[in-house]
Amino acid sequence: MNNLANKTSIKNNKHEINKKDKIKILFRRHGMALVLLAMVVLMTVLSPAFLTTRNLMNVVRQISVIAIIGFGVTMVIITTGIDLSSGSVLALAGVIATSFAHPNQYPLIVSIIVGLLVGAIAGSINGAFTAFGEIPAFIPTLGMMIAARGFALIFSDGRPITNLSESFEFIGGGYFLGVPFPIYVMLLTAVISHILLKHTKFGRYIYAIGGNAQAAVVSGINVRKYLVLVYTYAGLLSGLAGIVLASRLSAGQPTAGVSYELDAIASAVIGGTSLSGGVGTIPGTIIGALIMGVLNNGLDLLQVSAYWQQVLKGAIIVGAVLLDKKKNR
Amino acid sequence: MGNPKKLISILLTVLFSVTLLAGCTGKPANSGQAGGDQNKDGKKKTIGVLMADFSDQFQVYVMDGMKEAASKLQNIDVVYMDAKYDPQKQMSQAENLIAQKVDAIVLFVVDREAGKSMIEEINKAGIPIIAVNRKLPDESKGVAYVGSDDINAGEIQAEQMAKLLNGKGNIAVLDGTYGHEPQIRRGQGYENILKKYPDMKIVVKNTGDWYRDKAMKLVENWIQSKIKIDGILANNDEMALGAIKALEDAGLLGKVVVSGIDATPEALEYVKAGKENYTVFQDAKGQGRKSIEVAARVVNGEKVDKEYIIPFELVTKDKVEEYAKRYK
Repeated sequence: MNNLANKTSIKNNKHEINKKDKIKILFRRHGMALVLLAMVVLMTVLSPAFLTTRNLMNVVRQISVIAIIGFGVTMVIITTGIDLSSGSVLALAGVIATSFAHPNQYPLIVSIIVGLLVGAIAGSINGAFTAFGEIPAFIPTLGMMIAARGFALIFSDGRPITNLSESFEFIGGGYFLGVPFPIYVMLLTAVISHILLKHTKFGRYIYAIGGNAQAAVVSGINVRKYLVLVYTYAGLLSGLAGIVLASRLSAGQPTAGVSYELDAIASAVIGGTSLSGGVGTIPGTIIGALIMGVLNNGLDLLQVSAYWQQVLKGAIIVGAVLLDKKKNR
Repeated sequence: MGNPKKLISILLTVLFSVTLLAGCTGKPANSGQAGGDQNKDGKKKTIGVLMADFSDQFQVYVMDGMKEAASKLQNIDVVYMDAKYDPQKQMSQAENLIAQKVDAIVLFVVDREAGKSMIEEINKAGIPIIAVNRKLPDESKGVAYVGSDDINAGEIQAEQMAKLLNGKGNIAVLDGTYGHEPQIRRGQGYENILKKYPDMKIVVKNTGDWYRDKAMKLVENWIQSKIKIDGILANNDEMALGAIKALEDAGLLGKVVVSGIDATPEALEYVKAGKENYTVFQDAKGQGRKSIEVAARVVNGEKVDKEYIIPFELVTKDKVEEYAKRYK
């Protein structure tokens, strides 16, 4: 594994990325993958219902919405930012998109574009305040978290928006080749996000900004522009998640996605994204989301009492990350 | 470099605030301010209504009932106040009503604990309190309570489940957020009934926090765990609809009896379509109507009971239309 790490770091040297960080990322990624593997093995032993195709697809579908948000959040956190608005933006995009998704009204693409657009606009506002207002991202995204929820309630008059077209309901509820459609959406989003992050100027700049914003400015990167773009992308993905969730629930709900931002942030961080910036990967976030998903699913399969589930979830999340950290020292 | 940056941040701030303000004006204009200027001398009397939050759908229906009853009153004005779920705000609204010397206060209290000193002040001013929906922390401080009992809702729901399952089967419970009063009392109602049916057992339960998506995930996992489930009792309709989504996806819809509480318009659609087996209706309008009627009797010096319990009602497929009408 050491060899592999070295090779990767040499290869990326020309990308002006800190060698040490690079090695750390790789170690972390594999560390949490091992934790995930251990959990899967443990669950397989404990519950015969766990390792079945049907249940595994169930788990992946359950994490798809959080993971989609998580990819954007990962990028935001790499820039040393944070996005607390994902859950609320998801709800706002969901209610607005569904209001364009009634049967025989508009083509499906209209509601999708509207949903994505709402997310992107909300995200760009987050980005603009963070980049130009020069206030910590916590504040504008907290403001957006509260305001977007309010707008979702105003827009929908506090009621779920129902009576959706069949094609819209397919996005979250349908199957393609026996696999739930949200899984494809998540994978496609993951691939795009990964390419953006690893193989484009945009991605390199994101790491550079997170590694050292001052240096990024000096080296001629338009930091503000790229910050706005990152938050816009995160918002866009929240919008996409909103469409998938609304479709899955057959309703655009103004109360959807409460506290999803925390699950998304947790997925990123468990997956090795550093809250102090500059470090993080998309595969890592998928693993983080899977760890949370397997944990939720496993505790339900084992019929652990509801009160204890909360205690165990909290303990296992902290324990897993701690274990991983220790191993890296 | 400094100047354009500042300009842009100012522009953004202005833009944002303007958007916010524009949003605010879209609010319903009937946030009833107490008609303090209208002189209440002569025989004209006033009932002040302190609501917790006008934007809560349930309370909107409660007020619909109040307005219906108020329109039938003669020589009594009713004024409505919106505390926006802020106990402090409700306190100052109560003080305003006291200053205006209203003849009775109908109270939908924001927070039972935080409301104690407010209730004391109203008592001191000698104004009778009629509590609606939520009981006062100390019931002796009010002249009457109008509301429904969540235990009753749980009992109706569980009794119907027993009927549909012929008194035997495995039950899964989708609880509301643990610690919320309706969750505790509805659960108590389930227990009261299920102990009469030894062949009906709760095999699994967990909280969906009142949300559809969380309940859906739980039921998906329960299905995978291969526990045999014959019926699902959800603390509210939102969670029942989540359960239905999970069952539908697994091809189990119709093989499991599913029910909730609230009879929301959407749930009524599901009952009508035969997807949700039944729901339980909390008569918001009935509570509102009764509270004003009782307040009017108090104002006119008539005797009233200490408690008016508005019963929950079972809503089955054949009664859907009747309940759907109540939302119009």
